[in-house]
Amino acid sequence: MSLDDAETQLAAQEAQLVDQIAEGNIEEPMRELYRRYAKNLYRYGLHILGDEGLAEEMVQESFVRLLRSAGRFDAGRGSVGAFLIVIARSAAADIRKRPSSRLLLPVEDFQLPPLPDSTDQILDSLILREALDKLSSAHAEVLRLTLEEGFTQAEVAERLGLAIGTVKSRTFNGVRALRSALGERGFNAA
Amino acid sequence: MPPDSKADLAHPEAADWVLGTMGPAQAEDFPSHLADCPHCRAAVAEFGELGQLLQHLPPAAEPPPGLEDRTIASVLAAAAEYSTPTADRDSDPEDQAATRIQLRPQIPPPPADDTQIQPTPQIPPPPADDTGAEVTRLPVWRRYQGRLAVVAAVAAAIIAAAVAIPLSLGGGGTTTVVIPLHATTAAKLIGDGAASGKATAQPAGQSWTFNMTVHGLKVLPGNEVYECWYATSGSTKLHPQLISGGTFIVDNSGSTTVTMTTGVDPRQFRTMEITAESPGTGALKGAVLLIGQTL
Repeated sequence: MSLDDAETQLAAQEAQLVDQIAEGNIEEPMRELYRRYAKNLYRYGLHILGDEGLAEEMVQESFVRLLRSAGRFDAGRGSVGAFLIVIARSAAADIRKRPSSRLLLPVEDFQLPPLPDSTDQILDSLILREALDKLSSAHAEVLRLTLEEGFTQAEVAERLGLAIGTVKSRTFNGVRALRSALGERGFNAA
Repeated sequence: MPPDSKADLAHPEAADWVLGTMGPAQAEDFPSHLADCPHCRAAVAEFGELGQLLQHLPPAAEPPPGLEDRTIASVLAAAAEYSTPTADRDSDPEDQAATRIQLRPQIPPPPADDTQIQPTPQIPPPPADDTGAEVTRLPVWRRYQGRLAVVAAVAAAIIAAAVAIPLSLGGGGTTTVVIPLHATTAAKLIGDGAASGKATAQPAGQSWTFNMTVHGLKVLPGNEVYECWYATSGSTKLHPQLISGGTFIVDNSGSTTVTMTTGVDPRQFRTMEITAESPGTGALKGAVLLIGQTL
């Protein structure tokens, strides 16, 4: 079976799960979709809301909204994953607007990232996250220190006791590996 | 790209520029370096767009183990709410009917030996269109009659309250309101279906004292606690209007009796909810396990 065939079959399965929810058979299809998408939704929520509790709330709210919207899902217009991301983005926006969601930190100390403009951007960032988790440890370590800790190439070299040229080549090769993960779904960053 | 490509000959600062880790002073000088260095330009051209995306990478976090059950419980509670209108919803039933989601009848599962992906089942249109049933529109006065009855009932209740409350509060007597608590669908899902409780509230000066007894709740693990919330009738999950009444734990038999003093008037905050919470932002996060209305 080709990759395209497998994706088509997966999309059909997931569309069927949403149809079952719309028909009133809720629990098992909802659990299946939760198991497939909760991790990505939670990561997105944590990134965009900056708080574990609010991210959990966003995940719960997204699936409740999926229940309400299941009858309107049109498989011809996109995947279930994209549909859920649209729902989650809207839930996150509503939670961010709520005064009680604001963290008890001075504004200058904490700034939530902007809401991404498009569903594609969110999907891309989630795919990149998964690809980063699967990178070889040498590449992942360098990229993790850079992307998550904010260290410069020189600082990473110092921390890991590596030549700066090694850090640079691991960074570039790691980023290339991430790009190829995105390339499988048509992302064509030069 | 071959290893001796121009991007691989770029200075390490090009990676800092692309991935957003360059300090502000260096970032000020780097554009002029970029103009003179073809290798760094090649790196920026190769990785620039992806670098933007990588700067907004979500964290590598896993959802907590209990979230699946809590989410499914929330979904099922919402489904039950849509299919069963509650007594204290908005007063206009015509409006309710327009917005309430009606779950469609469940379709039979496919045969067990059928492993093929089935085509998307045709969703039947709403019954009114499906059956071609005749829609009988009541004459205008009949429709208003229902509303008039509601208005009259509300007016009568307001007049009764206006008379009764001063008599009970100002006349030296006591006003006691009762809030019976019953298990929600979410509670049933996690094995707390037999849980129940009752609260009574009496005015205490400018505040109210609640005495609440609960039975049949699980002993919570770790530092989780049960929390009591008061909600207005307009409170929804998305736009909550809640005030926390306090937290409590239960004894080994799943019971406890607690006394809480609060400024909340149970005749305005007519819904009491009990959730299980763990330390966090202080916002309601857990599924509602017990719920009740002021009688």
